[in-house]
Amino acid sequence: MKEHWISGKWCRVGRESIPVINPATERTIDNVARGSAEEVDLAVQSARNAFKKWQWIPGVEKAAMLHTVARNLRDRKKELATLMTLEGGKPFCENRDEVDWTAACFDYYAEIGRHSRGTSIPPVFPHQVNFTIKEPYGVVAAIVPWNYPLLLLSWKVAPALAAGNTVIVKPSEETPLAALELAEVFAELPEGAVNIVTGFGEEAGEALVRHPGTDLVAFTGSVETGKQVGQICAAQVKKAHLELGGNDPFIVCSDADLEIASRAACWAAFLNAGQVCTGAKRFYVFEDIAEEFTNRVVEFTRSLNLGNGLEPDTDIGPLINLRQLDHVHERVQQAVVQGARVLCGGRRPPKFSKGYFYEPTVMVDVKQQMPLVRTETFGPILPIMVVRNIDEAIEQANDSTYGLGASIYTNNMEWALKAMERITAGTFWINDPLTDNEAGPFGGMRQTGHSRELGEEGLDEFRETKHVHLDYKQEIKPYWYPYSKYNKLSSE
Amino acid sequence: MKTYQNFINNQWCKASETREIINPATGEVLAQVPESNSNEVENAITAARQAFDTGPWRQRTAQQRGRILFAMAELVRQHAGRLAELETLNCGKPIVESEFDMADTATCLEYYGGLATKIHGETLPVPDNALNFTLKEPVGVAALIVPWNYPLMLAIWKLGPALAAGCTVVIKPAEQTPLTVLEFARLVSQSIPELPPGVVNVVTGDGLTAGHALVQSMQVDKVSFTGSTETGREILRGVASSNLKKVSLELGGKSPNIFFADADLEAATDGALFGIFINQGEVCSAGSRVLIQKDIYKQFVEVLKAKARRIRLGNPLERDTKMGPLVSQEHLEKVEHYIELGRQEARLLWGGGRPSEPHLRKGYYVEPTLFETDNTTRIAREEIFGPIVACISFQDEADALRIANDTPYGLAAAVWSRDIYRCLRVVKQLRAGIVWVNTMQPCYVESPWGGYKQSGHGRELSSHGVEEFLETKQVHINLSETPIGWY
Repeated sequence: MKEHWISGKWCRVGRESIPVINPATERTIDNVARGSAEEVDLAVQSARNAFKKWQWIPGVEKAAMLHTVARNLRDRKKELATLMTLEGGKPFCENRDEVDWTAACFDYYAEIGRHSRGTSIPPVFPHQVNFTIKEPYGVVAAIVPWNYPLLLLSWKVAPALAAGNTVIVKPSEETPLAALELAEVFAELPEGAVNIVTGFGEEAGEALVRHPGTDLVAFTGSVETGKQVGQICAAQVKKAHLELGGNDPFIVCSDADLEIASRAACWAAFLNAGQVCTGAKRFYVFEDIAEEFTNRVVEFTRSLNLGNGLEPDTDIGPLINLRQLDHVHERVQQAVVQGARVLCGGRRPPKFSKGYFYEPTVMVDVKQQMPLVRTETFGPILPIMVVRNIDEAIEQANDSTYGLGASIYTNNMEWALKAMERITAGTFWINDPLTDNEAGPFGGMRQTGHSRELGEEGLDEFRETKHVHLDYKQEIKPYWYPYSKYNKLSSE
Repeated sequence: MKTYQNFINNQWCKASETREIINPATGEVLAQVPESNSNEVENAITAARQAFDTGPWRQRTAQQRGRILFAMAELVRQHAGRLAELETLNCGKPIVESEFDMADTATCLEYYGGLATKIHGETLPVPDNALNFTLKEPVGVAALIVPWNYPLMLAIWKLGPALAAGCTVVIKPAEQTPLTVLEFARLVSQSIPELPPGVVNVVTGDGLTAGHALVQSMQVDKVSFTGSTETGREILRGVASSNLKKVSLELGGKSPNIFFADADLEAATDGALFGIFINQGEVCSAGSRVLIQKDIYKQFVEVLKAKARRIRLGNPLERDTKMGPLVSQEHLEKVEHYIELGRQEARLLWGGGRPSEPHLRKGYYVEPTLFETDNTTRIAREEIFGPIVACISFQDEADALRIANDTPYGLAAAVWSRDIYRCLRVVKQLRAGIVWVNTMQPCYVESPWGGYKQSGHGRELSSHGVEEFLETKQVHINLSETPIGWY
């Protein structure tokens, strides 16, 4: 039984708990506290107190502490990755990489956080000095999803801390254990700089968003929940930093190397069993190579190993829970009723009696209007649609309410750049899908959100700008009262 | 015949000696200008010094400096036709090119007018109870030493950022081509009363006397020079032996223009010729080494020859003239010397002579000339600054890169191929400050210009250009009143 981590201590008020289930075995691994408004309030008080000191700690000292966080993460890589596989189902190697990326994110913000504070600006009169300084918002509520429980936590917590904020993390109720393990990783930070409260979104999550003591909500999750978060924040004019769903297109042009493009497609679609916001979810393939591309994709998909993420030869683990599994299967069946064909997969694998596994699925005869294409499915599905040319591919790719990422495979720079300019997306990958870079901003357009994580933009999301205007020549300005004098002056 | 004087402190000042300015298309005298001695140059420097130290210029805000640059841009636009004609008369470039230069000149002034208000410093987090920030301030008196190939435009590449930064300047145009800069000064003095005296000064004269006086002056804070690598070296020596003034240098080049076998032949051969023959090859970024992949070498050279035949030499004031005369008799002799050298050490493919038409005989014309050589000859290694190109064949990508980078220069380079990924691979390995893909020579005020290796120090144009005229001041305000108690 794990408790909340508030003010550097383990604690709980309520008695209720939530079981954490291994999606590969359906066994309960552990239980965590079911956070309530009361516990959220304790965490907010803790963060508010810590903020009074943390915001004034020099950047260089904050940097040293954030580097320690990174080092601690690397030291615990194996145990953290194991725990992440147990609670989230993702193959161990993906989780091991995730811990590395998480550590790299803390190292990155340690340095850029201490590097800049604002700009000095040319004044309007020579006897003035103008500059800007960047300041923290205060207390940040970081609400983190289950698909990348540590990485997406770091994208919020690292820049928030580097900018001088204190944080309350609410991990997903599906995957709270690795996040709670970070209590040790954050041990050298002042008490209350980071607090972790577990619970359900509609309870602990909503309490955090509503609490007048939180100044900014950084949320990653679904569009639906994001809209609710945004509405609550709007009522308080609280800043909401929303990173919502994606339904990313993946274009394969006629000149692409199909051996590479088909392998890339499978990875982009099936990574983390398709439970990736930037996963490729709609494939637009030029008609002259559609058949060959499809054959290669099907053949390769059949060779993939489904299994427990702790096994070294597992490529794809289970989905996160039964609800997600049912949702994915429903979408596939609905598409079949509407005329789509399943070339491989499309079912729960019969060889497993336990676990929320779903076979990686390749589908053709898919139509743009099908819910499978129009909404985010979040499962190991690779739907292929045929297009005549780059213009049609761009048009179909843009026919979406989302705008997170987009990928293209081609050797034709003109096509690549045309698609780059015209596709509405926060990230555009040419010949290498889904790769992140700490220095490159990540986020979406349209209903995917309106913020950016990572990069310098990712730091600025957690900083306010103050413009300072200083006049060292104290004088009575000619344009002050009385206007009779001013009008006389300006008519001269 | 027109007579000009030096422009110092917003006044026209006579010099003790004069020089005749020649029209290179005819050999006739166009005008007389001062051949300034070091005292006369020092007068201009003193005017700029006083304007910077005690004049009203330092009190001008960024917005006010910007508006002056906008007004200058407007003046150039209004008088573009006349300035272009004067440019062509003075340096021999085809009138159509001069017209483009004037449009670019106005754009450059406007760009820096806008940039004046966007010169930002930083506020910096330091680990103490203090406020720390940087101020960007003008470097002071800047000497702008300008070459003869783009006489007004390259003067403005320096003047625009210098004034945006808040410097005062002494411009020294090339001794052969001072007329458009002098005319520009005249227009400014008549139309922009907001410009205080001494902020912009123009002195004419040669490098050895007038240029030397600027470089050696203890009152000058900065030299911005465009010209040959040899002169650049002299300037660094002069700076080292005087007051260690700041220096930016935009020097020579021997830029490779690289053609892979899969490049579009029509576009590529056009690009090879344009890359070297625009402005008679008197371009610092000229593609004077054309590197051609072995598989297409023969065919490529045949097309080059066929197209070179079509380049029309003529009176540069005529609109269909594509190549004018070289700038001077002296420069003609230098270029002819290289042609002679090329005949001995390389194989002449095309040209190599002077045009035989009677009406071109008095001008300093030379034919567009193609040589076949490897990269070891002098015509492949030294900057000629004329319409002479070295055609060099290569085996593969590695060979092309080896040849391209085997030069003391590093100004520009171009690579042509339909395989964009190969282009990007090559781009990353070329040691040059400007790299074009599937084109050569476009230049934009928004993007930096300057060279690696012996092609120079620093960058012109873009926000990089204004940095060259700025100093950075760190301001640290201690907010703690506790005595440090060290002693």
